[in-house]
Amino acid sequence: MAKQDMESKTKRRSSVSYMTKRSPLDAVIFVIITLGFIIMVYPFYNSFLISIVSKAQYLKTPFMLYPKDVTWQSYEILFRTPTLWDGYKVTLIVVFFGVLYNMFLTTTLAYGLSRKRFPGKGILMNLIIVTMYFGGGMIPSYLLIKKLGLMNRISALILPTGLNTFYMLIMRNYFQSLPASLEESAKIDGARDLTILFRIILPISAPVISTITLFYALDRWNDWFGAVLYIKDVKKYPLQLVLRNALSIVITPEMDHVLKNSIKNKSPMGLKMAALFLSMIPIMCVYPFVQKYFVNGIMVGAIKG
Amino acid sequence: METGMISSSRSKTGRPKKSLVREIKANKHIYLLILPAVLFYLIFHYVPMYGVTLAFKKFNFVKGITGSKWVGLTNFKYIISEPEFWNAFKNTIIISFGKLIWGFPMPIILAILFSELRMNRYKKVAQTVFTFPNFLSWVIVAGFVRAIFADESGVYNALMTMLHLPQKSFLGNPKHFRSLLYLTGIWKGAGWGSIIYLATISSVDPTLYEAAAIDGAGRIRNIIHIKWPAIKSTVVLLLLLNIGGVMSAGFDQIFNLYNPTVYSTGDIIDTYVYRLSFERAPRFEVSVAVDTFKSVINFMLLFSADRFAKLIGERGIF
Amino acid sequence: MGKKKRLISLFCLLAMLSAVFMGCNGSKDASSRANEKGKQNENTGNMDKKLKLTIADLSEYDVEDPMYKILAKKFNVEVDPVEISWDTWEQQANTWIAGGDMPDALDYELKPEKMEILGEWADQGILKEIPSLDKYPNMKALYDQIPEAEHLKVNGKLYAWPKLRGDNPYNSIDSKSIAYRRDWAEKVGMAKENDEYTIDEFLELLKKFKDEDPGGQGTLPYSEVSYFFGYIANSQYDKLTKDVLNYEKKDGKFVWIPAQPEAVENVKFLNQMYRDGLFWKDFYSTDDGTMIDYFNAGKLGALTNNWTIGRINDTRKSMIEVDPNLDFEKAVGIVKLKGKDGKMFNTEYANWWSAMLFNGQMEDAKMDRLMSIIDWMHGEEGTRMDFFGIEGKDYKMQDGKMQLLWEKNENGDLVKPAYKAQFRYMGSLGGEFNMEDPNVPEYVKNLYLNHIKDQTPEAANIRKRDLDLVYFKGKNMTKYVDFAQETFDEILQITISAKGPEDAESKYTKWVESMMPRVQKVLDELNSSL
Repeated sequence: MAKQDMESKTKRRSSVSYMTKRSPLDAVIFVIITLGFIIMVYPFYNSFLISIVSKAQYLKTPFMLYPKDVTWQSYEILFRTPTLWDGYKVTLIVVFFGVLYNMFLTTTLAYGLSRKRFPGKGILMNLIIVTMYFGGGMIPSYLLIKKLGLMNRISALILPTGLNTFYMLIMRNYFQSLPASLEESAKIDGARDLTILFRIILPISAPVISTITLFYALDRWNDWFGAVLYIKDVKKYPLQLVLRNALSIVITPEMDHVLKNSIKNKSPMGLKMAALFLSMIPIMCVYPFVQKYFVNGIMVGAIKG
Repeated sequence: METGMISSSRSKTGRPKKSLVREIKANKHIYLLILPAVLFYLIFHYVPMYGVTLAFKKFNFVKGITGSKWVGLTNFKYIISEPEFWNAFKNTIIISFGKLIWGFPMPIILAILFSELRMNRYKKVAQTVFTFPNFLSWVIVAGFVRAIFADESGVYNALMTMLHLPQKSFLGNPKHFRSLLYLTGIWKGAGWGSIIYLATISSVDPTLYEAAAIDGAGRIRNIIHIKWPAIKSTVVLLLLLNIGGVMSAGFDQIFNLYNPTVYSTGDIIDTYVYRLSFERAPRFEVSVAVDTFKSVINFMLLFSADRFAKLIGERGIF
Repeated sequence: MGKKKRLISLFCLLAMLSAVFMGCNGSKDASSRANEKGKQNENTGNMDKKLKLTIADLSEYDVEDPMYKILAKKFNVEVDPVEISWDTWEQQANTWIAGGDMPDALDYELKPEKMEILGEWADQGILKEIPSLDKYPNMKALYDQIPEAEHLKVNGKLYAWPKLRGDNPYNSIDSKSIAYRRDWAEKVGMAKENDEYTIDEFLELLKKFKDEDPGGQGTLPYSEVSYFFGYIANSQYDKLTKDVLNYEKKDGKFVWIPAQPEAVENVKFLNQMYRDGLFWKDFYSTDDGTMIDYFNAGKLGALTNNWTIGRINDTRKSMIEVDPNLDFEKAVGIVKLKGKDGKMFNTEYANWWSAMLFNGQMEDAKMDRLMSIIDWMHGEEGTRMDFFGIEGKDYKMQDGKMQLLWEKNENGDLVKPAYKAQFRYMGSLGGEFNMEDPNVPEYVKNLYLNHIKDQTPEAANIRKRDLDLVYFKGKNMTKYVDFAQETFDEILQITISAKGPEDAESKYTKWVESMMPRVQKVLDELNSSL
């Protein structure tokens, strides 16, 4: 009975449809956003053009409006990197399992800490916040991973990421702003904590849940430093590390001799941009999916009944 | 473990021990719920926590951190004895607060603007596009910044010359460098930063808008009385967390945009330490000491800001 | 308040607990290490036993790299490569060593300032001593080419195997220099024979570049990559440089060169050059990559960089891509710049860079095997593999002469096979081999060689590296070195912002004064050792 009620209360409406009549404000906002649009897009657009034009063309015109002298050479070189596909595979595994793991820990903790006081809550909060500022550093972490037997295993890229306290606090804050009557009415109906969490709280928190999921997905997608310390097998390198290594630029004159054999000196700018796109496009595509949870809001019906 | 200590101190305040145990039993499902996360913190944060002592030790690679000998504040003295460090410290604070003043409100304003857009499809596309700069590294963005703001070849100064207006050096004049940081920081981060506020605004109960419409409220009213209260707690939270992050003023951005001519106003602790590690070869305990120094100050700032927030009636973090 | 006390006490309790937990294990590691150290192995001559070697260097890991297979066959080893990332090199090395996971052979960015930590590692048994080189003739020959290696010894023992920089086989002079557009110089009627210019002539050339725009794209006159900023000022006073320690003996005592009155000349000179527009106005805020791109694209008239053969060749290739009609041989030259006293100037450089360290726990048999491999890599066969590829596949030997079997690309250029393992680069006795890259045209090699060879002690002021000074062991010296970077950062600042010679001079002298308290500490240390 309670479930039916809850479902019928969930409708999707846009907040703007309740607006009053159109006004000149609309036009102003439109212009601002459109101008912003252009300055947001152009650098990205130009970077893409760099990745598909020849080196000579880039040298002549580093800033372009349209591509001339197109070549897919940079992408070809990257696709030929043997470990690139392994990199994608590893990163997808890390993102998939990592985000599930992150969200599980975050949601349980955020919800648990958002409800009433319980013995030890204050101390726990303090200890958790302390971890945002103080930590043991690389060497103790390395020894820990070693002791746990996670060396050179993909779980070493997932388990230590645990949960991001920052995000957890955001989620907790959101839970705290939900009206207590939500819980209470469900409790009166006899629901237990876990049921409340899953059936009531989560559906209503879809915007914040999807946002935090997005943040974690991006974080896991961009992780690379853990692999540098813990992963020896190059087939287990995440994508970002593969690309970083493939592209590390010659920094000092001495390195000339060392890197003389590598492909790095071919078309550095074009190569760098191609790598940027290969590493960014997949994760940028996640946002539009997440959007649908908040362009149209979720209506919370009357609490009573 | 914890409970033992709590019960012994709580009993001092006069609470009978029996009801505490009952409280714990009553809440056991919450304890169970948060147990996985607590275990995580314990294993991955508190077990390695002894590493913080490294800031006060001279590391012996064979004996490990616990076997290394204490050297008190030597590692700190190495760096804080340098006048350049204090210049960097000053800049770190100024730039971070500058970013709070100029940069922090932008995602909020942007989120509100977006929420006011009528065309759904355009809104979605625009929102997505505004997040693009977040995905470009500062290395790449710096190239564009130079193309616009370079003294001679930059678009801005070319425009100024055409309009017979005075030129400005953003990359070479310490007076203007920080403005450049704030501006480019906004450009890069506002879109992504607005996501959390958009999410919060979107979960506002539409019946509130209905009711407001019936009362004849205009859009500005809606923003002030419906949307703002909805995001206020998020704003406060993020503001507090940002205050707790003041000691890191944006290494990637500054590292890619700065040059020696603007060190006096643009050099921050992280960029200074980075340079130092190349020019000389400090022991790595020094960077641990610097991090500890930053963390202590950040923590104190957070704590104070939290206290203040509670004083003025906000929720706070602790 | 009660809450805070609780927090603190809980924190301490947890910290102590974990400290004890970790501490126990830490000491266990140390004691087990001590036990292993004593292990000796008599079996050091033959290759009967197959050994596994972990080697960590900047290679891009490729287990299919034929080099590993050749080593496996020749030396009966299984190479387990570990990849180091360039920008996290230091952290990886420190973490592996601290975690007890030091590879058998570790590539390490050794610098004189790091000798202290090297000494600690040696004393703590983390590193294995390199055995006598009598068994390894190629290694010995290489060692003799790096006199500085003596200073890398700790307590008379060698722990770090330095890698030879093979880019200059003729002398120990740095290849930093100015590449310029000779064709544009001809266009403006200022080209000098053999690219020899006095400083005044060169400045006049730059002025014509700026005023007459021979490049056609709004020619920018001159720029210097960030590391070599200030190079041209050495035409005024050649002792102020970043590459050799800025200390010298004056009247029997050490002084700091930036504090000498002549150093001010450099600052005024650079500021004047900048205000006259002879420097590209935006050079100070432009990254090196872009500067090089501008030169390649024909927008920049002259660029100071480390012009090794490889760099010159890369520029040649880029320039031809941009302008296929360009005659590089005629278009680009390297300036033989004569300073105030009519002589060229340059600095000595360290002819080695980075070194290989070896795990102290390694058995002698393994070390011997590793040494044999390195010895072979330094020899002719190994060096050929480094430069040319696999024998039989990429080249073949006929009557003692080498024949290349490389493939050709669509331009008819020979394409060097792209093997990625860098372990092959072991500072091979490469000198002449470097000149053997068939893709590099003769005139490019000559461009480089002529510039280097002409800098004889009679024709040039070469600032020497005083090894005793470079390796001086002192607390303040290790901490501050010679403030070279700070000096040049300040000079750059003044170059851009000073309004005139007096302004430049006063700013500079004020800065020098502010640095003296710390400089004096190093000077006192140095002088007390005399």
